[in-house]
Amino acid sequence: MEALVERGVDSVLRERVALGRPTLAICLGMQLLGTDSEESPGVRGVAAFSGSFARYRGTVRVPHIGWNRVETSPNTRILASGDGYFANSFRLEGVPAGWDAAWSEHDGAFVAGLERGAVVATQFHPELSGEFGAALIERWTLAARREVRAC
Amino acid sequence: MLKKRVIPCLDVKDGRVVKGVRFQGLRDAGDPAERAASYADHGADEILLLDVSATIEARRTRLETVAAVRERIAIPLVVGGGVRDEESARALLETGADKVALNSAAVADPSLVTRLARLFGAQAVLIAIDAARAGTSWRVLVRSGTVTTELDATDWAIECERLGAGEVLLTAWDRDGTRSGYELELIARVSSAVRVPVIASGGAANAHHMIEALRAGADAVLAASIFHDGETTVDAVKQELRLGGMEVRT
Repeated sequence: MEALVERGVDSVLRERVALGRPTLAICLGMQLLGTDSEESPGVRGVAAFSGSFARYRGTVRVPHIGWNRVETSPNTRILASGDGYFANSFRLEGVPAGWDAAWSEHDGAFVAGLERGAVVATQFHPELSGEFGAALIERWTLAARREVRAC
Repeated sequence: MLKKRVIPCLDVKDGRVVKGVRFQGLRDAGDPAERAASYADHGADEILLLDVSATIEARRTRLETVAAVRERIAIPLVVGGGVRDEESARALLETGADKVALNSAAVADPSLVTRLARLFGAQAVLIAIDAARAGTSWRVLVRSGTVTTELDATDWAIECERLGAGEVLLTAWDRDGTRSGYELELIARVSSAVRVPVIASGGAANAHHMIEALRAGADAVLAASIFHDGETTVDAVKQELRLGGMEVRT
Protein backbone atom coordinates (compact mmCIF):
# COMPACT_ATOMS: atom_id res chain seq x y z
CA MET A 1 0.00 0.00 0.00
CA GLU A 2 2.88 2.32 0.88
CA ALA A 3 4.35 1.80 -2.58
CA LEU A 4 0.99 2.74 -4.15
CA VAL A 5 0.71 5.93 -2.09
CA GLU A 6 4.31 6.89 -2.85
CA ARG A 7 3.64 6.73 -6.58
CA GLY A 8 0.21 8.32 -6.33
CA VAL A 9 -1.42 5.19 -7.70
CA ASP A 10 -3.93 5.05 -4.85
CA SER A 11 -5.72 8.24 -5.88
CA VAL A 12 -5.66 7.21 -9.54
CA LEU A 13 -7.29 3.89 -8.63
CA ARG A 14 -9.88 5.54 -6.39
CA GLU A 15 -10.80 7.95 -9.16
CA ARG A 16 -11.06 5.38 -11.93
CA VAL A 17 -13.26 3.12 -9.80
CA ALA A 18 -15.45 6.11 -8.88
CA LEU A 19 -15.77 6.99 -12.58
CA GLY A 20 -16.56 3.38 -13.49
CA ARG A 21 -13.49 3.01 -15.72
CA PRO A 22 -12.81 -0.65 -16.59
CA THR A 23 -10.78 -2.17 -13.76
CA LEU A 24 -10.10 -5.76 -12.76
CA ALA A 25 -8.62 -6.18 -9.26
CA ILE A 26 -7.49 -9.69 -8.30
CA CYS A 27 -6.89 -11.16 -4.82
CA LEU A 28 -4.63 -8.69 -3.00
CA GLY A 29 -5.77 -6.22 -5.66
CA MET A 30 -9.33 -6.51 -4.35
CA GLN A 31 -8.10 -6.11 -0.76
CA LEU A 32 -6.16 -2.96 -1.64
CA LEU A 33 -9.35 -1.39 -2.99
CA GLY A 34 -11.07 -1.73 0.41
CA THR A 35 -10.86 0.58 3.40
CA ASP A 36 -8.43 -1.43 5.52
CA SER A 37 -7.23 -4.92 6.41
CA GLU A 38 -6.17 -6.78 9.55
CA GLU A 39 -3.09 -7.70 7.54
CA SER A 40 -1.78 -4.13 7.89
CA PRO A 41 -3.35 -2.50 10.94
CA GLY A 42 -3.48 1.28 10.78
CA VAL A 43 -2.86 1.40 7.03
CA ARG A 44 -5.66 2.92 4.96
CA GLY A 45 -6.47 1.18 1.70
CA VAL A 46 -7.42 2.81 -1.60
CA ALA A 47 -10.98 2.97 -0.21
CA ALA A 48 -12.60 2.63 -3.65
CA PHE A 49 -15.31 0.77 -1.75
CA SER A 50 -16.15 0.68 1.92
CA GLY A 51 -15.06 -2.60 3.50
CA SER A 52 -12.60 -4.08 6.01
CA PHE A 53 -10.76 -7.34 5.40
CA ALA A 54 -10.42 -9.68 8.39
CA ARG A 55 -8.41 -12.86 8.89
CA TYR A 56 -10.23 -16.20 8.77
CA ARG A 57 -10.98 -17.44 12.27
CA GLY A 58 -12.50 -20.68 13.52
CA THR A 59 -10.91 -24.02 12.78
CA VAL A 60 -10.58 -23.69 9.00
CA ARG A 61 -7.32 -23.97 7.10
CA VAL A 62 -5.43 -20.69 6.71
CA PRO A 63 -4.33 -19.65 4.15
CA HIS A 64 -7.50 -20.54 2.24
CA ILE A 65 -5.70 -22.24 -0.65
CA GLY A 66 -7.46 -24.16 -3.38
CA TRP A 67 -10.67 -24.34 -5.36
CA ASN A 68 -13.90 -23.20 -3.81
CA ARG A 69 -17.43 -22.71 -5.04
CA VAL A 70 -18.32 -19.18 -6.16
CA GLU A 71 -22.04 -18.28 -6.22
CA THR A 72 -23.32 -15.02 -7.63
CA SER A 73 -26.47 -13.02 -7.17
CA PRO A 74 -28.69 -12.85 -10.29
CA ASN A 75 -27.62 -9.25 -10.98
CA THR A 76 -24.01 -9.83 -11.88
CA ARG A 77 -23.06 -9.67 -15.54
CA ILE A 78 -19.35 -10.43 -15.39
CA LEU A 79 -19.03 -12.52 -12.24
CA ALA A 80 -20.57 -15.99 -12.61
CA SER A 81 -21.07 -19.13 -10.54
CA GLY A 82 -18.44 -21.87 -10.69
CA ASP A 83 -15.27 -23.12 -9.02
CA GLY A 84 -12.55 -20.50 -8.52
CA TYR A 85 -8.98 -20.83 -7.27
CA PHE A 86 -8.27 -18.91 -4.07
CA ALA A 87 -5.06 -18.17 -2.15
CA ASN A 88 -5.96 -15.76 0.66
CA SER A 89 -5.86 -15.43 4.45
CA PHE A 90 -8.06 -12.33 4.77
CA ARG A 91 -11.57 -11.77 3.46
CA LEU A 92 -14.45 -9.32 3.23
CA GLU A 93 -17.60 -10.39 5.07
CA GLY A 94 -20.13 -7.81 3.90
CA VAL A 95 -21.03 -6.29 0.53
CA PRO A 96 -20.47 -2.54 0.24
CA ALA A 97 -23.53 -0.51 -0.82
CA GLY A 98 -23.95 -0.12 -4.56
CA TRP A 99 -22.06 -3.28 -5.54
CA ASP A 100 -23.25 -6.67 -6.77
CA ALA A 101 -21.43 -9.62 -5.27
CA ALA A 102 -20.32 -13.21 -5.60
CA TRP A 103 -20.02 -15.36 -2.47
CA SER A 104 -18.01 -18.28 -1.25
CA GLU A 105 -17.80 -20.24 2.04
CA HIS A 106 -14.83 -20.67 4.37
CA ASP A 107 -15.27 -19.90 8.07
CA GLY A 108 -18.76 -18.77 7.02
CA ALA A 109 -19.80 -16.85 3.93
CA PHE A 110 -17.42 -14.26 2.51
CA VAL A 111 -17.32 -12.00 -0.52
CA ALA A 112 -15.65 -13.80 -3.44
CA GLY A 113 -16.13 -10.93 -5.87
CA LEU A 114 -17.60 -7.47 -6.38
CA GLU A 115 -18.92 -5.89 -9.53
CA ARG A 116 -20.19 -2.47 -10.58
CA GLY A 117 -20.34 -1.86 -14.32
CA ALA A 118 -16.93 -2.65 -15.76
CA VAL A 119 -15.25 -2.51 -12.36
CA VAL A 120 -14.70 -6.03 -11.02
CA ALA A 121 -12.80 -7.22 -7.97
CA THR A 122 -12.23 -10.92 -7.26
CA GLN A 123 -10.84 -12.59 -4.15
CA PHE A 124 -10.09 -15.65 -6.28
CA HIS A 125 -7.70 -15.76 -9.23
CA PRO A 126 -9.59 -15.86 -12.54
CA GLU A 127 -6.26 -16.18 -14.37
CA LEU A 128 -5.64 -19.46 -12.50
CA SER A 129 -9.22 -20.73 -12.52
CA GLY A 130 -9.20 -22.67 -15.79
CA GLU A 131 -12.09 -22.17 -18.20
CA PHE A 132 -14.31 -20.65 -15.52
CA GLY A 133 -11.74 -17.89 -14.97
CA ALA A 134 -10.96 -17.40 -18.65
CA ALA A 135 -14.66 -16.86 -19.39
CA LEU A 136 -14.84 -14.23 -16.64
CA ILE A 137 -11.84 -12.39 -18.05
CA GLU A 138 -13.42 -12.50 -21.50
CA ARG A 139 -16.71 -11.03 -20.22
CA TRP A 140 -14.78 -8.32 -18.41
CA THR A 141 -12.74 -7.53 -21.53
CA LEU A 142 -15.93 -7.16 -23.60
CA ALA A 143 -17.50 -4.91 -20.96
CA ALA A 144 -14.28 -2.88 -20.80
CA ARG A 145 -14.29 -2.37 -24.59
CA ARG A 146 -17.91 -1.19 -24.52
CA GLU A 147 -17.11 1.20 -21.69
CA VAL A 148 -14.07 2.62 -23.47
CA ARG A 149 -16.06 3.13 -26.69
CA ALA A 150 -18.75 5.00 -24.77
CA CYS A 151 -16.21 7.45 -23.31
CA MET B 1 -16.39 -25.46 1.03
CA LEU B 2 -12.81 -25.86 -0.08
CA LYS B 3 -12.45 -28.72 -2.56
CA LYS B 4 -9.92 -31.50 -2.27
CA ARG B 5 -7.18 -31.09 -4.85
CA VAL B 6 -5.49 -33.64 -7.10
CA ILE B 7 -2.00 -32.51 -8.07
CA PRO B 8 0.07 -34.32 -10.69
CA CYS B 9 3.79 -33.97 -10.07
CA LEU B 10 6.33 -33.61 -12.85
CA ASP B 11 9.87 -34.56 -11.92
CA VAL B 12 11.99 -32.68 -14.40
CA LYS B 13 15.66 -32.88 -15.23
CA ASP B 14 17.36 -30.73 -17.85
CA GLY B 15 14.03 -29.83 -19.38
CA ARG B 16 12.57 -33.35 -19.58
CA VAL B 17 10.20 -35.33 -17.38
CA VAL B 18 12.32 -38.08 -15.86
CA LYS B 19 10.26 -40.22 -13.55
CA GLY B 20 7.83 -42.98 -14.26
CA VAL B 21 7.56 -42.44 -17.97
CA ARG B 22 7.11 -45.58 -19.98
CA PHE B 23 9.12 -45.09 -23.15
CA GLN B 24 6.53 -45.37 -25.84
CA GLY B 25 8.35 -43.39 -28.49
CA LEU B 26 10.53 -40.57 -27.29
CA ARG B 27 8.78 -37.88 -29.25
CA ASP B 28 6.92 -35.92 -26.65
CA ALA B 29 6.51 -38.42 -23.86
CA GLY B 30 8.79 -36.41 -21.62
CA ASP B 31 8.00 -32.83 -22.48
CA PRO B 32 6.93 -31.04 -19.27
CA ALA B 33 4.70 -28.48 -21.03
CA GLU B 34 2.88 -31.18 -23.02
CA ARG B 35 2.38 -33.24 -19.90
CA ALA B 36 1.20 -30.30 -17.83
CA ALA B 37 -1.24 -29.20 -20.54
CA SER B 38 -2.65 -32.70 -20.84
CA TYR B 39 -3.10 -33.01 -17.06
CA ALA B 40 -4.77 -29.60 -16.92
CA ASP B 41 -7.15 -30.64 -19.72
CA HIS B 42 -8.01 -33.74 -17.70
CA GLY B 43 -8.99 -31.76 -14.64
CA ALA B 44 -5.76 -31.40 -12.62
CA ASP B 45 -6.30 -28.81 -9.90
CA GLU B 46 -2.71 -27.67 -9.85
CA ILE B 47 0.66 -28.77 -11.23
CA LEU B 48 3.82 -29.33 -9.21
CA LEU B 49 7.04 -29.15 -11.13
CA LEU B 50 10.04 -30.50 -9.27
CA ASP B 51 13.27 -29.73 -11.05
CA VAL B 52 16.06 -32.05 -10.03
CA SER B 53 18.69 -30.73 -12.48
CA ALA B 54 22.06 -30.21 -10.91
CA THR B 55 24.17 -28.77 -13.69
CA ILE B 56 25.44 -25.23 -14.10
CA GLU B 57 23.00 -24.77 -16.94
CA ALA B 58 20.17 -25.89 -14.69
CA ARG B 59 18.90 -22.47 -13.69
CA ARG B 60 18.33 -21.19 -17.20
CA THR B 61 16.78 -24.47 -18.38
CA ARG B 62 14.55 -24.50 -15.30
CA LEU B 63 13.23 -21.03 -16.05
CA GLU B 64 12.62 -22.01 -19.67
CA THR B 65 10.67 -25.05 -18.50
CA VAL B 66 8.60 -22.97 -16.08
CA ALA B 67 7.81 -20.44 -18.81
CA ALA B 68 6.84 -23.20 -21.25
CA VAL B 69 4.54 -24.86 -18.72
CA ARG B 70 2.98 -21.55 -17.68
CA GLU B 71 2.19 -20.80 -21.31
CA ARG B 72 0.08 -23.94 -21.53
CA ILE B 73 -1.91 -24.01 -18.31
CA ALA B 74 -4.44 -21.76 -16.60
CA ILE B 75 -4.26 -23.47 -13.21
CA PRO B 76 -1.78 -22.91 -10.37
CA LEU B 77 1.84 -23.96 -10.79
CA VAL B 78 4.19 -24.83 -7.93
CA VAL B 79 7.90 -25.07 -8.67
CA GLY B 80 10.48 -26.73 -6.47
CA GLY B 81 14.17 -27.37 -6.87
CA GLY B 82 16.89 -24.79 -6.79
CA VAL B 83 15.13 -22.30 -4.52
CA ARG B 84 18.02 -21.07 -2.41
CA ASP B 85 17.37 -17.41 -1.77
CA GLU B 86 15.15 -14.42 -2.57
CA GLU B 87 16.61 -14.02 -6.02
CA SER B 88 16.04 -17.60 -7.18
CA ALA B 89 12.50 -17.55 -5.76
CA ARG B 90 11.73 -14.24 -7.44
CA ALA B 91 13.02 -15.52 -10.79
CA LEU B 92 10.67 -18.51 -10.63
CA LEU B 93 7.66 -16.44 -9.51
CA GLU B 94 8.26 -13.82 -12.21
CA THR B 95 8.61 -16.54 -14.85
CA GLY B 96 5.23 -18.04 -14.03
CA ALA B 97 5.34 -20.06 -10.82
CA ASP B 98 2.52 -19.19 -8.40
CA LYS B 99 4.29 -20.77 -5.45
CA VAL B 100 7.80 -21.98 -4.76
CA ALA B 101 8.58 -25.17 -2.85
CA LEU B 102 11.43 -25.02 -0.33
CA ASN B 103 13.13 -28.07 1.08
CA SER B 104 16.84 -28.30 1.97
CA ALA B 105 17.30 -24.53 1.82
CA ALA B 106 14.68 -24.01 4.54
CA VAL B 107 16.35 -26.55 6.84
CA ALA B 108 19.74 -24.94 6.25
CA ASP B 109 18.40 -21.43 6.88
CA PRO B 110 14.92 -21.31 8.44
CA SER B 111 14.89 -17.49 8.27
CA LEU B 112 14.61 -17.84 4.48
CA VAL B 113 11.00 -19.04 4.98
CA THR B 114 10.13 -15.81 6.77
CA ARG B 115 11.95 -13.62 4.29
CA LEU B 116 10.18 -15.19 1.32
CA ALA B 117 6.78 -15.05 3.04
CA ARG B 118 7.25 -11.32 3.75
CA LEU B 119 8.29 -10.64 0.16
CA PHE B 120 5.80 -12.77 -1.72
CA GLY B 121 3.09 -13.69 0.80
CA ALA B 122 2.56 -16.92 2.75
CA GLN B 123 0.46 -18.38 -0.07
CA ALA B 124 3.52 -18.36 -2.35
CA VAL B 125 5.77 -20.28 0.06
CA LEU B 126 5.29 -24.03 0.23
CA ILE B 127 7.48 -26.17 2.45
CA ALA B 128 8.34 -29.58 1.06
CA ILE B 129 9.09 -32.07 3.82
CA ASP B 130 10.64 -35.43 2.94
CA ALA B 131 10.06 -37.66 5.94
CA ALA B 132 11.44 -41.10 6.77
CA ARG B 133 10.17 -43.33 9.56
CA ALA B 134 12.46 -43.65 12.54
CA GLY B 135 10.81 -45.90 15.10
CA THR B 136 7.52 -44.34 16.14
CA SER B 137 8.13 -40.96 14.54
CA TRP B 138 9.41 -39.44 11.29
CA ARG B 139 12.66 -37.61 10.63
CA VAL B 140 13.18 -34.90 8.03
CA LEU B 141 15.45 -35.78 5.11
CA VAL B 142 17.26 -33.23 2.98
CA ARG B 143 19.29 -33.20 -0.23
CA SER B 144 16.88 -35.42 -2.15
CA GLY B 145 16.63 -37.91 0.68
CA THR B 146 20.34 -38.51 1.02
CA VAL B 147 20.82 -36.81 4.39
CA THR B 148 18.79 -37.59 7.52
CA THR B 149 18.45 -34.69 9.95
CA GLU B 150 17.58 -34.69 13.64
CA LEU B 151 14.39 -32.78 12.93
CA ASP B 152 11.07 -34.41 13.72
CA ALA B 153 8.74 -34.03 10.71
CA THR B 154 5.75 -32.80 12.74
CA ASP B 155 7.84 -30.34 14.75
CA TRP B 156 9.41 -29.03 11.55
CA ALA B 157 6.00 -28.52 9.93
CA ILE B 158 4.83 -26.57 13.01
CA GLU B 159 8.02 -24.50 12.94
CA CYS B 160 7.62 -23.73 9.21
CA GLU B 161 4.07 -22.53 9.79
CA ARG B 162 5.33 -20.27 12.58
CA LEU B 163 8.04 -18.96 10.23
CA GLY B 164 5.41 -17.98 7.68
CA ALA B 165 4.99 -20.87 5.24
CA GLY B 166 1.54 -21.11 3.65
CA GLU B 167 1.37 -24.79 2.77
CA VAL B 168 3.12 -28.12 3.43
CA LEU B 169 3.95 -30.81 0.90
CA LEU B 170 4.48 -33.94 2.96
CA THR B 171 6.30 -36.81 1.26
CA ALA B 172 6.70 -40.16 2.98
CA TRP B 173 10.10 -41.12 1.62
CA ASP B 174 9.71 -44.83 2.46
CA ARG B 175 6.53 -44.92 0.41
CA ASP B 176 7.66 -42.92 -2.61
CA GLY B 177 7.40 -45.04 -5.73
CA THR B 178 6.22 -48.12 -3.81
CA ARG B 179 2.53 -47.76 -4.68
CA SER B 180 1.65 -49.15 -1.28
CA GLY B 181 -0.56 -46.20 -0.35
CA TYR B 182 0.14 -42.95 1.47
CA GLU B 183 1.61 -42.92 4.99
CA LEU B 184 -1.66 -42.24 6.78
CA GLU B 185 -0.33 -41.91 10.31
CA LEU B 186 2.20 -39.28 9.22
CA ILE B 187 -0.51 -37.37 7.32
CA ALA B 188 -2.83 -37.47 10.34
CA ARG B 189 -0.11 -36.22 12.69
CA VAL B 190 1.09 -33.35 10.55
CA SER B 191 -2.26 -32.18 9.23
CA SER B 192 -3.72 -32.01 12.73
CA ALA B 193 -0.66 -30.17 14.06
CA VAL B 194 -0.71 -27.27 11.59
CA ARG B 195 -3.38 -24.92 10.30
CA VAL B 196 -1.93 -24.50 6.81
CA PRO B 197 -3.07 -26.90 4.06
CA VAL B 198 -1.21 -30.20 3.76
CA ILE B 199 -0.55 -31.99 0.47
CA ALA B 200 0.02 -35.74 0.86
CA SER B 201 2.68 -37.36 -1.29
CA GLY B 202 4.37 -40.71 -1.68
CA GLY B 203 2.85 -44.10 -2.36
CA ALA B 204 -0.28 -43.46 -4.41
CA ALA B 205 -1.37 -46.26 -6.71
CA ASN B 206 -5.06 -45.46 -7.06
CA ALA B 207 -8.02 -43.30 -6.06
CA HIS B 208 -8.69 -45.47 -3.02
CA HIS B 209 -5.29 -44.48 -1.59
CA MET B 210 -6.15 -40.84 -2.23
CA ILE B 211 -9.45 -41.13 -0.39
CA GLU B 212 -7.57 -42.64 2.57
CA ALA B 213 -5.10 -39.75 2.60
CA LEU B 214 -7.87 -37.14 2.39
CA ARG B 215 -9.79 -38.85 5.20
CA ALA B 216 -6.58 -38.87 7.27
CA GLY B 217 -6.56 -35.08 7.04
CA ALA B 218 -4.79 -34.12 3.82
CA ASP B 219 -6.23 -31.20 1.82
CA ALA B 220 -4.71 -32.35 -1.44
CA VAL B 221 -3.06 -35.43 -2.90
CA LEU B 222 -0.01 -35.56 -5.12
CA ALA B 223 0.85 -38.36 -7.52
CA ALA B 224 3.35 -38.81 -10.31
CA SER B 225 3.82 -42.23 -11.83
CA ILE B 226 0.17 -43.35 -11.98
CA PHE B 227 -0.53 -40.39 -14.26
CA HIS B 228 2.75 -40.50 -16.22
CA ASP B 229 2.34 -44.17 -17.04
CA GLY B 230 -1.13 -43.57 -18.37
CA GLU B 231 -2.58 -46.10 -15.92
CA THR B 232 -5.30 -43.66 -15.07
CA THR B 233 -6.25 -40.05 -15.73
CA VAL B 234 -6.92 -37.19 -13.36
CA ASP B 235 -10.55 -37.19 -14.56
CA ALA B 236 -11.01 -40.84 -13.70
CA VAL B 237 -9.41 -40.42 -10.27
CA LYS B 238 -11.57 -37.40 -9.46
CA GLN B 239 -14.68 -39.27 -10.51
CA GLU B 240 -13.77 -42.01 -8.03
CA LEU B 241 -13.05 -39.43 -5.32
CA ARG B 242 -16.48 -37.96 -5.92
CA LEU B 243 -18.09 -41.40 -5.60
CA GLY B 244 -16.09 -41.81 -2.40
CA GLY B 245 -17.80 -38.74 -0.95
CA MET B 246 -15.00 -36.21 -1.55
CA GLU B 247 -15.80 -32.74 -2.83
CA VAL B 248 -13.66 -32.09 -5.86
CA ARG B 249 -13.68 -29.48 -8.59
CA THR B 250 -15.78 -30.43 -11.59
